[in-house]
Amino acid sequence: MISVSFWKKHEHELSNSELLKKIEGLPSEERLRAEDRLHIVLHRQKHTLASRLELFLMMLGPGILVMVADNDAGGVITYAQTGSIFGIGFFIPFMILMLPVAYFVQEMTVRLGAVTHRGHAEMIWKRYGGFWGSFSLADLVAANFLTFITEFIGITVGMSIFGVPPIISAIVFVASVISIQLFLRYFTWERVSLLIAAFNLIFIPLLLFLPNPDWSLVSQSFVSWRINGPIGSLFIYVLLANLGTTIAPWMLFFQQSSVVDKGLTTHDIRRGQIDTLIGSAVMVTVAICIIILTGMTVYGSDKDGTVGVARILQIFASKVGVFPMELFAVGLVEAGLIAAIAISASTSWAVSEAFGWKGSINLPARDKKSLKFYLPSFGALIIAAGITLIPNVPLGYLNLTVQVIATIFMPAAMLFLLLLLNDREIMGNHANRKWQNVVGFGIIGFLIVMNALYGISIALPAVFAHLASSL
Amino acid sequence: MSKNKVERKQERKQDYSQLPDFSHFIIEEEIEDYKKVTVNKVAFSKRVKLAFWFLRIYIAIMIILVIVGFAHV
Repeated sequence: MISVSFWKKHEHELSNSELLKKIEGLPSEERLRAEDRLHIVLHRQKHTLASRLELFLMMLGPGILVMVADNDAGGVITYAQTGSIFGIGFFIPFMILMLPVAYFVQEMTVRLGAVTHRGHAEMIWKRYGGFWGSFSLADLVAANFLTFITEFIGITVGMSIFGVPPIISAIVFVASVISIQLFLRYFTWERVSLLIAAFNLIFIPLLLFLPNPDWSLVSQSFVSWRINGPIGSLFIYVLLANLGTTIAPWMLFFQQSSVVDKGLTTHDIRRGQIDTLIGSAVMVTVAICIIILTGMTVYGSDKDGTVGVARILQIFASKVGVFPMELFAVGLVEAGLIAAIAISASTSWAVSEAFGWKGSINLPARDKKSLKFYLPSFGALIIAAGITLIPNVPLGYLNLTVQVIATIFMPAAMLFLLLLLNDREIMGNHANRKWQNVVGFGIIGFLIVMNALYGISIALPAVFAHLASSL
Repeated sequence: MSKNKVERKQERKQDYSQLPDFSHFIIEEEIEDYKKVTVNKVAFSKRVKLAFWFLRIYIAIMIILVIVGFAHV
């Protein structure tokens, strides 16, 4: 049955329409998507300011979600660690540079999803065969599992500030993520997720709490790109971690599948690009705010070099006060929650696409197909939550390592993306242009060079030290 | 404003409900049938084959290095 709210809203336009009967005959998950698409199409035909605004808001979703979810607990911790270790300098302009990079990479998934109506895992599997399909899937599932762990690190640390024991935080948040995924249809799921994502902005007003901030340091950083510390393996490690928090394989899978589940077509590409651009701007702004927050307070406070997030929060509270530190903790918890939702969806979509299962957020909870669809991601979520409860796990180091692993696998994911975007048989007029390929392969080259430097710093530390000292 | 522009604006303003049963919109906007494009396995060109071999070697090296990195902790 067509939902009551949908009918009431479009009763006038839809009266005597054969379309309703056709939509009613579709399977439930396809019917809900058809309804959502019809909402969009109807709004496109109206030209009042209110309708245009409503259409704009309806089209927001995949791009903002993927970017905000990328500012996940692991990302927030990484940015906090970056500011704590390297202060205000190189990483501020570096993050600005990441805005076009993130937009450029993610925009390609909008076009690919809108043209093919297939998810990323499905495209790799069908176009390049089982070997690369299974490699991409294994890489994604493993990286997503590790990322889940970092989300729970953030959530349990953040909640511990409010005196909540880690086991309670883990149980509550696992239950929340499962409920949001299982019981909401795509459109509502997207709106609820966007609402949660809005709390990511909490880091921006936190700047107002900084005691005597020296903004000239920030402006100077754009001129000097100064690295406050040795250009050693730690610098490369942190640089890779920052890259890993900005562009990661799961983001490609998530946004493309999200575009498909939402039912976007080639008519919606422009609005999808705007959505992605807004998301990129939000992501970079929040990242820079976090680096400034810890760079102006925690940097230089700990002789041993501050890496642990609990210690960072402790120093932050001593410099800025308990209330701002609590707001920081709320941001950390929100970041973990929104990312857990997005990464869980990305795992479900990818696994179902790879194995040819019917999968959609629109699947009703009572449908047996939804159990199959959600089982891989819910299983990973529960195990990851359990791991973070094990005492003495090196959580701070684990977090940076997860981001580094994401960066290492990114060139492979990017290569498949660029191959698909250059496939004129599939993409037609929406294929990449020459300049887009130059930029795309440039990003792959940069990632490979950075990964090679990381490799040298591990395998041949003496050679790396010599190279670094000569810079 | 040129005549064309005015006409186009008028067309856009046309009330959606007056269109005959949305039939062309249904097809064009893929509302009823959200069709997936047909995708078949592609035959790899020499350049792509080379890129895939480079990728295999790169991944093998990086996995070894990550394991070495973990061993150092």
